[in-house]
Amino acid sequence: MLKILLPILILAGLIGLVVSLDDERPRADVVLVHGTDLFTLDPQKMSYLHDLRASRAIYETLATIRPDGSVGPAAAESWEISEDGTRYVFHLRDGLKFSNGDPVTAEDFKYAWRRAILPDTAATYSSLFMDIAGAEAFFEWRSDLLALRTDPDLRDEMVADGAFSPVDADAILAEDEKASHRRTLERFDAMVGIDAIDDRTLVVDLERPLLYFLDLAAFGTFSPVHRPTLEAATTLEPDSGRIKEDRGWTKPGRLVGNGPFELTRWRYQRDCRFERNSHYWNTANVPSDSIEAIVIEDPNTAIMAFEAGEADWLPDVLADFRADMIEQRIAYETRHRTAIDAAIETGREIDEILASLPAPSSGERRNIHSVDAFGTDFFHVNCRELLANGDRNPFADPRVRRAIALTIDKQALVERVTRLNERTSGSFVPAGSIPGYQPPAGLPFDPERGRAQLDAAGWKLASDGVRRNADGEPFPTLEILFSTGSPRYKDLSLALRDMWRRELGIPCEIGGRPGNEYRAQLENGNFMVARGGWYGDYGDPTTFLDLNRTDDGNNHRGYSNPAYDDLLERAAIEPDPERRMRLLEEAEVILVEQDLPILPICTYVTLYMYEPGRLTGLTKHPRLDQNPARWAIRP
Amino acid sequence: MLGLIARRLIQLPVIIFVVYTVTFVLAWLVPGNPLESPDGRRPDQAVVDAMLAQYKLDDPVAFYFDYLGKATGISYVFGDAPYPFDLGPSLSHSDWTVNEILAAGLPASISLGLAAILIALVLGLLAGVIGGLKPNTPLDAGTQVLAVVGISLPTFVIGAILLILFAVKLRLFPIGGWGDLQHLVLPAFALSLPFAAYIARLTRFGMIDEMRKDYIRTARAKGLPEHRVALGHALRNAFLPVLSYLGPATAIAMTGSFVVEKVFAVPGIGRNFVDAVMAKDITLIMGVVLVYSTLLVLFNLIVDVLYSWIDPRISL
Repeated sequence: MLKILLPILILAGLIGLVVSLDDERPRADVVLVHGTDLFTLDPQKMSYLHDLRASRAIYETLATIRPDGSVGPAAAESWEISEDGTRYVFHLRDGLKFSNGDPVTAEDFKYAWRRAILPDTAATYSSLFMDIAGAEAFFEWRSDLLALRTDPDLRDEMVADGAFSPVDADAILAEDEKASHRRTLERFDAMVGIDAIDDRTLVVDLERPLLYFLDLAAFGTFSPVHRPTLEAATTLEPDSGRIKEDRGWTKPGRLVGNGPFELTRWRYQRDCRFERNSHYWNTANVPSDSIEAIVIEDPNTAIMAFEAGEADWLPDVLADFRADMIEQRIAYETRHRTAIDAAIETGREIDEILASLPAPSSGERRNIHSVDAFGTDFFHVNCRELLANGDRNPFADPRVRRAIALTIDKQALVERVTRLNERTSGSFVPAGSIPGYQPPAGLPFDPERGRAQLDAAGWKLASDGVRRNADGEPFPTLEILFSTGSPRYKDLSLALRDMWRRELGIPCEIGGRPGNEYRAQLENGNFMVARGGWYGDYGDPTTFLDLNRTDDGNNHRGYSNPAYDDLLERAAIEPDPERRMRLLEEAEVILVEQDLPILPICTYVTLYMYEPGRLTGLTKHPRLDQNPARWAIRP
Repeated sequence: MLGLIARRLIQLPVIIFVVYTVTFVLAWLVPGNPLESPDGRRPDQAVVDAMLAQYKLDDPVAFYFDYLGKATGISYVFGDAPYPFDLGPSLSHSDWTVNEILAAGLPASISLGLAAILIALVLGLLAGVIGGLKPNTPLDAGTQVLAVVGISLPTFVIGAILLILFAVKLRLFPIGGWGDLQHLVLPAFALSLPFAAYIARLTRFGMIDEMRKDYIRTARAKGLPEHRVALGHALRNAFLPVLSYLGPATAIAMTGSFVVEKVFAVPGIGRNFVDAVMAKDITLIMGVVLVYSTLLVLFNLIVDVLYSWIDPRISL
């Protein structure tokens, strides 16, 4: 008996040993839930939405996106833009400090932006910096230099290509890593239009007039970093001279930022805590002392944590029953319709109105909020002449693409398939998301016209009920590629399959693949129609429209229309904002009314969960640029 | 016995090496790009190339040997690595090294797994002994039914039920997370049920079998009280199959608990593994697999040693 008890006792002892004594801290003022941990707190390397949101807590960019979507001053108190729109002069506030008390200077911004441009950093969003004068040429120069130093045998080839002069190539190969690093920094100063004139003045020269550059300057990847911290973390790789940074610098105790909060705890896949940075210039206007993001991967558990009061905000409700939660919210609003309408008349904000109403009864709720996001749900159409298997691609003909676009009943999709009642969209750029831009209406649901388009393309209904071309070949089976994992895309694909079978009489099947396989097929052009989706990055239509340029890295559709490319080119150099928007609108008409390389379905919504009136400071502008400096809990 | 331990410890590196190689090939063949965000953001090809060069992902053979050297500590011995057993940076969570990720997750996974096995042992032995001593009675049938339920109900269902009942309605335990023993109770219980059910069945059959044997009759004839006959003699032998099950079970409980970790938001290793495979985070996959396989081999060894200690008839 003792011998049997003993293993049990040993186990119990081990658990006692292993359960770590935890440093519990009091609950933060605002607790939000992340479905997965932050990927990085290195601002230049960020690309995920929740990382960029966290950057707002610990860093501050030159400009900021206001709750209404407009751009306002932040670390810079003012700026001037040259008449031709290619030079921006930023004036930093006086007395800006990092969380350790060091001053924030224009040089810190330059250092950070240089990191983003350097190929050594390999920043996902380095492309946003490439409109700065000389940035792209510098990126290429540095990439060539690294390649040459990694493999000196490339010398002759690179000299022949004109990458380096023979003298430069030999000098680059002869010097040590430190000299190579110095050469790189000097080259950057000479080539790239980012100059720190003095501690408080940053001058940026652009390749072309960029009317949205202020918007970029407000983007998280343009945050400054604390130079001494980064320099201490930097080493140069032997031989190649590649800049290596010890990734530990983003951990609490080491990370130094200039934002309203500082990082005080980060436990992997567990939680991340930010506390007030008393050195922040505007700390008097930051209502919360602490913010905590806890990681709960399971969407149902996240909702339970909210219901139990362990979290104040779920920024992304993903539970399977979320459509039912929306229905409960609608039921609540329906019961109080007259009171809500009357209060809206007086100009009150919806959260405030909801908070003033009686508590929801069973079957109702008011803590779920569906907000339009800055993104469009769409399907890709392969525009290449040939499919990946070598067969002729019927969708290379824009008439066939228009036919399938015209036979999508989007209203039915959002009401009965996704059940989230998103705003249907005929355009790629979400309507109302960018001031001054009016996206086209796109194609309506018109099955009659759709069938006519297919007939015109030569796919006529034969006597056996099959659509055939002039050679008598039947229309190939349309396969809709989607990623498994979330039911949304399977449901949408099934509904599209039925619509196209029914309205056009073409054979159609669905093909689900795991996420990474789906992506590989998409990138290799191995599909006919595939699910898509895109969120914009900055407040300009090109954040969507660039995707369909012939040579864009995200143009998985193989779409190419010189007229479209030309309009974007012309818009890129057009200094007049008004005329520029008209050119972009014209381009989008080609995209969504003529060529249809993408089939827009609806504007994405994000489902927030919070108690209205209790958590304040969240914006509902489609950019959804939530700034922790504004969040507050009202008792 | 020392010979066995020595033999196993010599086998260990060979097993780990084979596991390393097979996992590496499989992980490398998975389609996808570990450096790409899942929402389809694709940096320019020049940046992708720069990323691949940064992590030495452009050459699988070089990567294989470089990683092997660092993970085994050979590079450290030759002064090419800052510390031994360097499992590299995580590719998808670029601020963390795999060593940091494992160090953060292992304590949670290990204590959760051990706690689950502990609960399973107590519940399973109790139910098994009751059923085994009074076979084919309503009491036995009851425990049997419970055992079937324990094996067949998926953990995510049990987890959700436990959460709704004990955390949301009764507020006895926190919803999820980690930190103290309170956080451990519900996930450990949810994780223990399938193991408990299996142990109960093993014990029951063992007890029924043992109680018919001659030495039990002898023990009774000596006038020993029934509870000493059952617990002191029969259980000791009936426990042996349970013990041999315990080795792999403990390893599974400690490593295969990703569903429970997900439902109860336990910051363990299991879900990292699943996420790593989805993201093709090769270094993290390799790191987790190496640690898991080492644990598995060690636990089997521990059980074999315990075996001969409990039953002196077995010599190793």
